[in-house]
Amino acid sequence: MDGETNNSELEKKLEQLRPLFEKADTGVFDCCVDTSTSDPVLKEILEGIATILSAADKKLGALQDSEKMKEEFLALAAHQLRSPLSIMRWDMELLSNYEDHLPTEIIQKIEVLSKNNKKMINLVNDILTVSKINLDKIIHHIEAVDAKAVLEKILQELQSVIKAKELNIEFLAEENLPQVYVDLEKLQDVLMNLIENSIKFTPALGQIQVSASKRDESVLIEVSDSGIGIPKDELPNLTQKFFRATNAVEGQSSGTGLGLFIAKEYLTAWGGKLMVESPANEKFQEKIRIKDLPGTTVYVSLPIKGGDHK
Amino acid sequence: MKKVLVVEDDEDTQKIYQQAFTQAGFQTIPAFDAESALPLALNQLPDLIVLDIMLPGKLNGFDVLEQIKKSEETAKIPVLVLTNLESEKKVAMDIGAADYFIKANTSINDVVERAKQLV
Repeated sequence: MDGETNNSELEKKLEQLRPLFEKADTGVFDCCVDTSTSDPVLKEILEGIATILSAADKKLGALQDSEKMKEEFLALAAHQLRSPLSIMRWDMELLSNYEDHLPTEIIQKIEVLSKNNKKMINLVNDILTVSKINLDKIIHHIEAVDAKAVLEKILQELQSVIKAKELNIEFLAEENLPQVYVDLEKLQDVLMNLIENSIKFTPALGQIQVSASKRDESVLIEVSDSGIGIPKDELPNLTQKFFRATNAVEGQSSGTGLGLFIAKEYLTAWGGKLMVESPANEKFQEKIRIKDLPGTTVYVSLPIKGGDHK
Repeated sequence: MKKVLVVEDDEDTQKIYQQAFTQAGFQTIPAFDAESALPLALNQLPDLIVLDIMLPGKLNGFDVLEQIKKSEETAKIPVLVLTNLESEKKVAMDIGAADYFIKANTSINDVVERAKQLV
């Protein structure tokens, strides 16, 4: 019968379309719809579907372009911000060199300016890193790294802050730790960020414990503190961009909410892992940990074999 | 007195280098673009070159670095690259920079300390 479609043809067409629908559901719009049929009504429907899919694909392309432009603009703006910020930083450092000749009030003002200048530089650095992650422009230089040495150097650099808060820091590293295959500079940034977080969220006279031990095919680094911890229901959001725990925000501590997002991105690229527990979960408890601390524990696992990571 | 050629287009930054290096006992020679930096490097033969990457004009800091390392008279002069550009470290080190710093992430006192080590 001309112009009328039997059920088997409809079913056949639907069978062809189903994969396209499934793809569309995941945000991929495949426009190749076979519109050949002798039924004019079905033909119009098929052509309509083809038009919708093609329009959606175009919209998606435009959206991706504008997203990319936004990221590129952000990277450029952040980069342009660095120049004036570095001039301010250096001029304030030169001013502090005259400390002996300056009145106390001026020295205090310089300290406030320097602190805030550093905050802005950190923010700009984080924004630059995130925009590079989003544009897929991060380059990892993987090499064999001594994780223990990296931790020792960081703790050395943080000495004055640790002293100022009178924190009790314990550092335990297993003998003969194997080398890990990571990007050295980025690992320094990640671990520095984690330990600085612990220092920031642990009240004066509190405790921090840093340990490194071999575990299966990786070196596990654990940073525990007796700090304010993280509400349990917020733990899953912790590695999301710009996320900050409610108690961190209430405590009015500064932070960009980008550190853990960046850490997770880097670790994933190296074939490592990041886990956060608050308070420490017995499941991950390390044999060399001396005691459980009630605050937050961050576990970083670093691969001890070089892989084909990007 | 040790001489440092400072290739930097920003005036405020030039003044900072001048002050910091003078205090440390260096004589500074300023250059505001690549075109004027190259003849200065050849004629003055400084003990150290501080080099920015983004410069006005046709040539950038990488071009300056390349020329300096290519020419026999200047090849041995250590070059400290100081920029706010990221991810260019490997390029600069491959051409022959002695060190590479992101300005915003480095203390000017550390820059001067590194300079003292190099001369």
